[in-house]
Amino acid sequence: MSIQQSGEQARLLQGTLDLLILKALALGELHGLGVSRRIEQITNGTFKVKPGSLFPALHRMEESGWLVAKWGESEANRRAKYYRLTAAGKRQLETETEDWNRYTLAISMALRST
Amino acid sequence: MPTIARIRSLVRNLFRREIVERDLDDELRAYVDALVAEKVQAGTPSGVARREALVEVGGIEQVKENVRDSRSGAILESIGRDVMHALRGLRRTPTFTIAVALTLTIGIGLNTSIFTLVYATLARPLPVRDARRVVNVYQQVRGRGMREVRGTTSWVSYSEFQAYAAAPAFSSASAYAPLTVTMAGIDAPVESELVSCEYFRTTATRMTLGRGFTADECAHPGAGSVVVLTHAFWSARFGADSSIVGRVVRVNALPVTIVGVTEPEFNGIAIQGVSLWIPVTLQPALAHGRDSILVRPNASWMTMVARLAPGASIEQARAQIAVTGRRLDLDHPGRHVITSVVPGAFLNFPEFTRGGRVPLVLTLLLGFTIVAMACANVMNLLLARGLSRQREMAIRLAIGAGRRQLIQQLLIESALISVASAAIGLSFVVGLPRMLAAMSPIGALQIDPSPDMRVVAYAIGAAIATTFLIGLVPALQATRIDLVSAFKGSMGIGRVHVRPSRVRGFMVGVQVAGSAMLLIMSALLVRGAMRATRTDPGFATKNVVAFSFNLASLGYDTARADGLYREMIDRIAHLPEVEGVAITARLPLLGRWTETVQLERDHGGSAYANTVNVATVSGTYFNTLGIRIVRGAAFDSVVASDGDRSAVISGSMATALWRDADPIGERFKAAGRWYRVVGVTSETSPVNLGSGPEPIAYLATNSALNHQIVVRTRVSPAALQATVPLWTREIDRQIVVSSGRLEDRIVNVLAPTRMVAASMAVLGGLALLLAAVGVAGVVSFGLGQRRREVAVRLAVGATGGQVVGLMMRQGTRPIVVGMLAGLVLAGAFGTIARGMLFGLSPIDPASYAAMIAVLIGSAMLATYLPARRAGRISPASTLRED
Repeated sequence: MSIQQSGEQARLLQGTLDLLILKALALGELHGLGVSRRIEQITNGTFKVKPGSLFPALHRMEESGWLVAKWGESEANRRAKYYRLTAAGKRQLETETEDWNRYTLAISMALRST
Repeated sequence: MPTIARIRSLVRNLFRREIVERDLDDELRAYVDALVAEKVQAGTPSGVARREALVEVGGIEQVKENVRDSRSGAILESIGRDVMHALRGLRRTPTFTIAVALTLTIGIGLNTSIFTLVYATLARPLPVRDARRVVNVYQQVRGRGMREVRGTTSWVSYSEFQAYAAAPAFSSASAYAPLTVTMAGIDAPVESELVSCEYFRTTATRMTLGRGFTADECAHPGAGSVVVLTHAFWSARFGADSSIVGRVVRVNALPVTIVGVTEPEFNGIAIQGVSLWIPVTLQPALAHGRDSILVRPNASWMTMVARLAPGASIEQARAQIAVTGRRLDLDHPGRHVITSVVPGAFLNFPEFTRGGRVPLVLTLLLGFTIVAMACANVMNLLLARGLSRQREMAIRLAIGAGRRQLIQQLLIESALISVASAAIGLSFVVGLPRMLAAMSPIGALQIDPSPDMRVVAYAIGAAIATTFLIGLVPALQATRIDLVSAFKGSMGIGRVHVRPSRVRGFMVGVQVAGSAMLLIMSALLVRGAMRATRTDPGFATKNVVAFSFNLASLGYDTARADGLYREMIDRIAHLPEVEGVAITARLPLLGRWTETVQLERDHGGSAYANTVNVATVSGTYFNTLGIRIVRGAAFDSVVASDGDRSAVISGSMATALWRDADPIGERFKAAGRWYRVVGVTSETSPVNLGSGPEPIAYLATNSALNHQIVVRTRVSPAALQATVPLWTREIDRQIVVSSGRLEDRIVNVLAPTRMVAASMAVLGGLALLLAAVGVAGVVSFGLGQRRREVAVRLAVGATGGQVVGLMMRQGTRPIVVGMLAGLVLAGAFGTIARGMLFGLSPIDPASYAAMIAVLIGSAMLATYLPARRAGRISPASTLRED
């Protein structure tokens, strides 16, 4: 899973992309580019997700039943495929968020201790 | 929910691929369009915007490929691709495919057939409802004391059965014993079973008509004069008469009432099917009081079967039966029984499963040898193919295929072949065991050779094992490739092939050893059978027929029987075609029937020689069977001088007991009576064909009951065989005559040997073929490796013959080693199977020489044919290949 960051190389932890996508979609349904832009926005431009990583993740999460997709009209009256969180997806977001918080807490505690 | 979503998308990915693909296409196009629109909005000119967008996406196809890999079913899809690829590859090389599939079909088919037969006899549940709850109860008797045995020692007596049947772990229990009876109006002996009255409840048999036995009918000896018929017997002999119940028939002259007919297909639970069942309590009456084994407590004669009660386990039954066994021992001081309770099957009594294990293990081993040899051969073919595909593999590795992927693909190839072979092999299983079972010398057996779940599982297991065996080794070998040298085309120089070639040599050695052993065995057996038919047994076998009568089961006493025999002999003797007629208790070739004789005076003969074969005969026996009297004379009267009975002995008995002294006039005691020797016969082989002379005493008899009438005729005795039953019917309609010719008996005696010889010859021939292909493979592999060396030799002046010879020598070592091992194995097997060789030495030189010649000839051919190509190598073009 590679996530492109403009300029410097940022390596994302395994599973973080899923979490970011879930979070991005928690605010409402989006199409592929929308997901990408929303992630850029909510991470203050730290992560730019390229389609080579984005689409496999979206399809995999759809197959897992976290997302549903349907074709719709975009702002510019274009056809686009919109993704929306399911109930399972919302639950998944909650668990992954908890896991993430526990994880970061543990890591930062480990780093603080000398 | 997620599971359902996943299954739905899996189904969609696999079966509605086009829709999924088109959807993905549209989505990516929409993405690019949106990106372009975004850039145009930000002020980029539209042409530039599109180019930038495509760069940013980084290859639409790459993205699609990533998505496909992340989909569920991606692995299945790649397997499907490999299957298609493998099928294409196999179709491209039809000879290879057919060779491999045929070898494996034969290997798996033969092996599974053998398994089916062994399983059907030893482990398959009995042919009854809910058979998994049915068990057999056996006891092995240890310690001091005598026990009467009819059949096998682990069977029980009726009173023992009653004691064991009380175990609370059984919901019902029964015992049965075979009995051949005669029925009025049926001119052949009828196979029946004496059963305890719970029999039909234990076997959960339903009735077509009437009922089974009731407990009252077994209450005391002679309680119920009733029988139950099998559906088959009822149909064949009573025309499926629906009013049969209540009819009175005579069994062994005893009037009994038919009370029921069982459901179709049920012929009892013994390995040989029966025609009717009789309550065991009728046993003494059926024997007309001459035998009442029913009431003897210390006799092995009934097989016990029981059904476990609901909730009861076989362990509980074992514990309860063991306690009962110890209680029974109290009545027999010094005896102790070891009881066993085992899942019900045809042949599962302790003596058989232990004693019978050796031949069974040998049979199974033979089956595995065949499959192993088939595998070895296929591995050879695949190794050779792997070599020729090294370039293909190297290219695939070079363009980025993973080793795992390559192995997966090679395994799929061998799986395709072995699964197809197992499927075809299973069709063998339907036919072959039935054929083998029908050829059984014991007569029609009730074993069910149809493949059931376990057989199918066995075949599938064999296919899986075969797949890995034949696929993995060449796959690993073929993919361990040095990329550079493969492209340079000089694979032979690398050290990679040292090990595989040694493996091939070993496998060829195993094949040669196996075929040598099987071929020599079959040659020994064939020559043994030939010897048996050629060697003069010392008595006439042509046109000799014996008649026996069921007088004992009809309750005839001695005087009445003698009268009937006199009448019959008189009538037969007056026929013009008859050369001689006599009575005897026993015909030759039925194995040993010995007695220990006691001499009046010891003449220094070996103490062990006192056990001799005995046959009670009339004085005309010698003339009838053409046995020459070399000293003295045959007896005219039963009683010799001074009240002793007369006896004629064979020359070998005279030598064994009286050494050089003249035995005429000497006395000996056998079976509680004194006999006086009046004559000495020429040597005969009384025990078995080709077994050679054995001591035998012919004792004069004056009672005909239980004896046979033996007749020798000038022409075929067929007419006589038809006439005698008509005569007996004039005297007593109930008499059943069975007649048999000595020639037929010889055919029966030879049948097992001929059967084994034929199957060994087939297996051996097959093994030889496999070995020859293996040897040819080794040689042509070697030639492939040393092509350039050969070219160089030819270029510097070696003749074609020299290089051919050089190539042929490559195959010799495994052949020589394998053949030597095969000779040793054949010698060992021959010693074990001595009984089937009819006196032929297990190291009979002719058999060995002939088969060694066949093996050497085949080996020469198998090495010459591929090596021949070496002579045709063109040095110039070969050396230019690099």
